[in-house]
Amino acid sequence: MNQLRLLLRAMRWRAGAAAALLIVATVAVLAATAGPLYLDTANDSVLHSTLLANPVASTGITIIPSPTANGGSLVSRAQEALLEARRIGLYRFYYPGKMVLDQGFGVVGAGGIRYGGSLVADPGQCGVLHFLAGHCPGVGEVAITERTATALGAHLGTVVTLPGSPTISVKVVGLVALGNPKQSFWFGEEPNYFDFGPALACGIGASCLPQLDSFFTAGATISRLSSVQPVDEFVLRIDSVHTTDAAAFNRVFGRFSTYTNQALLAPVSTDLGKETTAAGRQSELMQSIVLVVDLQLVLLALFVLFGLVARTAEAREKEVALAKLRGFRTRSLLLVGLLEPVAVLCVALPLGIVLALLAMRVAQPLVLPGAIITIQPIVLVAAVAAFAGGLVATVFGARRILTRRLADELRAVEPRASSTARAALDAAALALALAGIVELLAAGVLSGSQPNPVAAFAPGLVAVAVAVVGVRVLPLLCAVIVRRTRNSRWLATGLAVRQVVRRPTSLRQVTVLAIATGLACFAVTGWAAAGINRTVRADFVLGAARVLTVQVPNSVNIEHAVDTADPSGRYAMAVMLSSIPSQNLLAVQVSRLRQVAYWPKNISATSESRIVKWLTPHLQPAMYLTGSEVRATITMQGNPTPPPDLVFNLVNSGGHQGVADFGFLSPGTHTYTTALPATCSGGCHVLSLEPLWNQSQTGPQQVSYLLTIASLDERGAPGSPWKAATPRLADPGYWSPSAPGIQTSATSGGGVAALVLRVKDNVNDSSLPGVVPGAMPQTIPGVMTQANSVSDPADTTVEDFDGSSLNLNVPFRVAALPQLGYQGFLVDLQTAIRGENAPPSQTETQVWLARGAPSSIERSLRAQGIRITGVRTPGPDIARMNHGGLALAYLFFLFAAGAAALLAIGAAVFSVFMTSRRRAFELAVLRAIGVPSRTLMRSLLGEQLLVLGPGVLLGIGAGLLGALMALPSVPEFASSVGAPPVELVFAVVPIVAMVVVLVVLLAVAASLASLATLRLATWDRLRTEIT
Amino acid sequence: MTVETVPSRGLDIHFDGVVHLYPSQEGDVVALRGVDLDVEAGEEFALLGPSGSGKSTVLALLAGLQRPSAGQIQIGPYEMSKLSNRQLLRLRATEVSLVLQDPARNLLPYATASQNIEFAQRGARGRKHRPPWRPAELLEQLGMGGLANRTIATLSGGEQQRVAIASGVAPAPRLLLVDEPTSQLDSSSRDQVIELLHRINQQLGSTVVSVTHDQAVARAMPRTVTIRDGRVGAEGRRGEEYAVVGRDGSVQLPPDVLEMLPPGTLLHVRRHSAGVDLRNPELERHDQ
Repeated sequence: MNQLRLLLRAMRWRAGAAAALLIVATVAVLAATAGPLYLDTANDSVLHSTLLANPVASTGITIIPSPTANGGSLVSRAQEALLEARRIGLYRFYYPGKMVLDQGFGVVGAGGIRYGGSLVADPGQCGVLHFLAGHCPGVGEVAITERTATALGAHLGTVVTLPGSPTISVKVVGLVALGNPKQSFWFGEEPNYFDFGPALACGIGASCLPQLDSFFTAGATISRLSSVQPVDEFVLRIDSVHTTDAAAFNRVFGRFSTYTNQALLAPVSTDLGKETTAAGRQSELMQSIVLVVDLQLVLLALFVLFGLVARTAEAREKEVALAKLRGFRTRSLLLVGLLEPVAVLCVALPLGIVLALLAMRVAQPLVLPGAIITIQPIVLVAAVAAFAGGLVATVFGARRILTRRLADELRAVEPRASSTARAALDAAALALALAGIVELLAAGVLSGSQPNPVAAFAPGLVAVAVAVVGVRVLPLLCAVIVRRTRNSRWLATGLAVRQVVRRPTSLRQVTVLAIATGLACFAVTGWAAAGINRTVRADFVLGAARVLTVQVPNSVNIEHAVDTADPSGRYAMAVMLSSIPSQNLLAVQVSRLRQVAYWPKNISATSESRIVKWLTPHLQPAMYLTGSEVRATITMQGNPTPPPDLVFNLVNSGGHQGVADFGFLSPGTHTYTTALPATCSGGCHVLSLEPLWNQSQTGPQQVSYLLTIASLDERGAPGSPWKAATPRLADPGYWSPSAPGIQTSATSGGGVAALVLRVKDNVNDSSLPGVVPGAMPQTIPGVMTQANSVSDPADTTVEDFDGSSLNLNVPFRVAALPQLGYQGFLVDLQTAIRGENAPPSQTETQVWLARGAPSSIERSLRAQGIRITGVRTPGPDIARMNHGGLALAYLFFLFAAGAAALLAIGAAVFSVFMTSRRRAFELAVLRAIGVPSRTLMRSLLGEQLLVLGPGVLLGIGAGLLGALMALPSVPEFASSVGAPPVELVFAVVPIVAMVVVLVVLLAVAASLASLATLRLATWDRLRTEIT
Repeated sequence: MTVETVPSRGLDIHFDGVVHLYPSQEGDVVALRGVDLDVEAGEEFALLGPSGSGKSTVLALLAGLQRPSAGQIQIGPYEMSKLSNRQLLRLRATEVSLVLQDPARNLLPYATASQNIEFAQRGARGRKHRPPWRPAELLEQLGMGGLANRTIATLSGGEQQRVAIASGVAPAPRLLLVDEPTSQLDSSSRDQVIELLHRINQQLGSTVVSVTHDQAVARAMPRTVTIRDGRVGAEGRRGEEYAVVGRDGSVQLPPDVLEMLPPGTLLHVRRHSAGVDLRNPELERHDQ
C-alpha cells in the first residue's frame, strides 16, 4: 500500500511526463487494437456494400419447383419449402420467403385492341401497392393500375374475362398507383410486372401485343389455373449477414440447398456466393494493407514510447541512483526504475482498447454503416502484443539508468554513446531500410505490374533512409551556419544552431518526425489518388454523368431524337450497346463523344481527338423520309416489257422494313406519288431504290431502259407543301448499284439535276438490280479494347446489333470501354445503324447526358415518345466503392498516418522541451547578462524548428518519393479489368492542406514549448544553481 | 520502540597504502597516493581538505562505490577489495550508509519525510535486515517528529539536510558517511546538523565520517583528518593540529607552515628528546 501511495505521489510529481507516457502508450495499444477491430468491422461493411450494390434478386434465393415423378401440386410443394426453410433456420439470414404466382394472358381492351399482361399473386403486394380506390383483391378479384384501367376501359366493379385454361373472369376491386416499382419487394420482377406500353420487342419472337401492367390478385385466383408455375423468393437480410457468421450461414444454406434439390428438384438459384467471393477478395486486399499500415503505426508508436521512456527516465535517474546507494536488490531496483512506466502501460492497455472501441463506434456510422463492432480474440491478442512491445520499449528505454554505474552518476560523468556506436546504428538502420527497398524492388513489388499490398511498406522504409541521411547531414549544415553567425548580430539564430550542433542527439527526433510525416504524406497522396481514381472509374464505367436507359418506339430515330433534344451537341449523346456478353459492341454518336462521355486520358495511347476523327463516319448521310407521302418525277426512256415497278425499300429505326411503291412506270415523263408505309410514321431511311418487274411473265422481255428521276419530294400530310428529300436525289456519287445490271449517273441537263438509272439486259440474273444510297464501305472504322485478340486489325468481323456480321478496321486500342469493360468494340452509331439489315436484338439503347445537362433534354425525349426506363449516375457506384475494402483500407491508412504524425509531433516537441528545460540555468544566465527575452524566445523557437522543420521537410520528400515508388503497386481496386488503368495522380490540394496543418501544429507546439522553457529560466533558478 | 545508545556498534576503518586512479583519455588521474588511515569503531571524525584533494574518493571507497587501485581498505570485518558487487550492495543496504552532498540527491522530493525514511530502509528490509526503528520513531528520536508527514519539497534546506541524514541512518548502519552535510545551510541549520551527527554517533553508536569544508563542523568533531594531494596531510584532535608522518617518511605540513617553507626550502633537522625540530637556516640568519 505504501508503495502504491509512493507511486501515485511520484506520478503526480511528474504528471507531465506520466501523461505523455500514457498518451503514447495508449496510442500504441489503440493502434494495435484499431487495426484488427477496424478490419473486423470493415469486413462487414465491405460485405454489406457489396451485397447492397446488387439487385435484391441476385443476393436472394429463387426456387422454381420442378414436377417430380411422385406428382403433387407444385404450389403445395413450393409452400412446403417455405416451412422447411423456417425449420432449417434459413430465416436467420433471409426474410421469410414468399411464393409468387404469375400467369400471362391476352385480353381485349377498349377499342378492341388486344393487350398482353399477367396475373400476379405476390404475398404482401397490397402493403406495397398504393390503393387509389377499392381494396386488396381476394379470390377472383384483381387490382389494376390506373393506366391499365384506362387501356381496358375498366373501372371498379368491371369484370374482365381472361382467356386461358380455364378461362377465368376477374372483378376489378382495386385501382392502384404505380408507386416505386424499383423497390426490393418486387424481387427484380418490376420490368415484367410494370411493362405498360406498346410492344417493344416484337421482332424477336415475343408477343407484339402492347402490354398492360400486371393484374394483382390473390394466390387462389391463379392456383386454380392449370400448369401454373410457382416461384419461391427469399430476400437476404443484408444487415444480418456478418463475416463471422460464414460457418453458420454455409451450414444453413447447404441444408436448404440439399432439401430443395431433393424435394423440389430445383437448385437454389442465387448469386450470393459470387458476391461474397468478391467481397472476400476485397477484404483480403484490405486486410493486407491495413495490417501493413497498422504494423508501421505500432512500430512507430513503440519507437516513440521508447524515446519518451528514455527521456523521462532521466527524471527518475536520481531515484534509481538513490536505490543503488541504499543497496536495493535487483528486483527492488527494477521496481524503482520501471514501476512508473509499467503502471502507465497497465493503465494504457484497457484505455487503448476502450478508446479504439469508442473511435470505431464514432467512425462506424460515417465509414462503416451497418457493420457490427465486435471484440474478437485477435483484438485482445493485438492489444497484449502492443503492451508487451511497450514493456520491451520501456525496459530498453530505462536500461541506461538501471545499468549505469553509481560512481559515475555521483561523479556526474555524462554518459555518452560513442559516435562510432551511433554511426553504426545509423548505418544499420540505413542498410536495413535500403535492403528492404531493394528487396521490394527485386521481388517486383514496386514494379507496378502487379498490385501488392506489401508495397505499403515502401514509404516507411524510404522515410527511414531519408531521415537517417538527413540526421547526419543536418549538423554539418548547422555547423556552417554556426560559422556564419559567429560574431554576427544574428544572436538568436546563432544560439539555436549552436544548440543543435552541441546536442546532435536531439536530432533523433527528426527520424521519428520524418517517418510519421512521410507516412502521412504517402497516405494523403494515396487516399487522394485513390479517391480520384474511384471517381474516374465510376464515371468511366458508366460512361457519362447521367445515363438514361430508354425504349424507343419503332417510329422514332434515336439519333434524330437526341439531335432534336440537344441541338448544341454538348449535353446528350445517343448510345446503343449489346446487352448480351457475346456481343461487345458499343455505338455512340461520335460527334458528341468528347463533349458528353467521360474519356480518361490514359484509356488509350491514342488521343481522344484522334479516335473521334477516326470514328467519324465518312458515309453519305442516309436519305431519310419523314413525311407521309413522297412524290417523284420520273422519265423513262425505252419501253420495257413488262413495265418496271419502282419501289423505295425503307427501314425505320427499329429495323422494321417497309416499301414505298410508285407503281408501274410508263414511258415518258410522269410524276408519281405514293404514301409511306405506317412503319415509317416516325421516319424511315431509304435502303434501296429498285425498278422491279415481274419475272414470272412469259414471253419476250425487254429490260433495257433509262430512268431519269428528276425530283423526289415528301410532305407530312396531304395538302401540305412538298419539300425536297435530303440529301438531294442527284448528289453525284450518292447512289451505287446493289447488283450488276444497273448503272447510275447524275445529270443536270436543262438545269435540272437528276438521277439517271441505266438498266441493262439482265434477264438471266436471279437477283434484282437496284441502287443503294451512300453505300456502306466494306469495313468501317472502329476501336477495340486491348484484351481483344484479332488476327487482322484492318479487317475484323464482329457481330452487329442485328446479329449480322460487321467488318471493322480497328487500328487503335483502348484499355476498356464504358459499360462493356475490357472486351469490346466502339463504332459510330450512325454507321452501325446504317449497317443494320434487321431489327436489332438484345440491344440496349441509352442516352448519355453530360454534367449540367438541362432537364429540358429529358422532357424533349419524352415528348418525342421515348420512354425513359432507367436513370443511372456514377454516384451509387462511387458510394459503393467508397465503402469497398480498399477505400476503407486507404481511409484507415489516412487516419493511422494522421495519428502517427500527431504522435511524432507531440513526442518531438516534448523531447525538445525536455532537452531545453535542462538548459534553464543557461537561459537564466543569458537573461542575467542582458540577452532580451525575445531573442531567447526566437533562439528557442529556432532550435525547435531546426529539429522539427527538417523532420517535416524530409518526411514530405520521403512520402512523395515513397508514393511515386509504391502507389502504382498498392492495389486500389479488387479488379483491374474493365476500367481505365489506375493513374497515380498527385493531388496538390490535399498534400498542401496536410503540410499546412502540420506546419501550423508544429508552430503552435514549438511556441508553447519555447514559452514554457523560457518561463523556467528565472532568477530563482540561477540562485539555486549557484549556491 | 526507542532508540538506545549502543556504545560500540560502529565499524572500525583501516586504510593501508590506498592508491586510487581515475582513468581518463588524457591519462590516469591520481586521486589518492597512498593513504593510511585508522578510525576506531564508534568514532566520529571529519575529513577535511581542499577541492580535488581526494576526500570524496575516500568516501566513495568507504561506501564501496569504487574499489581502490592499490592498497587495502578494511571496514570492520570486511576487506573491501575482496567483496563482490552483490556483497558491496548488501553492505550498503545494512552496514554502511552514505549521505550525498545535495539533500535532493538523498530524498524523493514528492514523498514525505517518513516515506523517505521507509524508502531508505527498503534495501535493508529486502535483505531481511530489519532496522530497529520505524520511520516515525527514528524521526522522533532525532528530533524531527514534526517533519514526518511533510513532503520534502515543502521543507527548508536545513530541514531537508537533516531528513537526508536521517534517511542515511534509517537502515541503522554501523558506518555513516556524510558528504558536506552543512553546505548551503545557514549557521542555525548547520548547528542543528552538527548536533544531529553527534546524536547519531552517541545514541546509535555508529562510526560517523563527515567530509566537510566547513570549519565549524571540523571544530565540532573530536577528530579531523586533512587530505592534501591525495595523502593524509594532517590530523586534528580536539582542536590540536598534527602533521602526520607517512609510510615513506613524508610529512605533510599545514598550509600556514608551508607559506613559511616554500617548496625547495632547505631545513635543518634537529632531534631532541621531545621530537624533531625543522629549522630554516635562512630565516634563522635573518632573525639573528
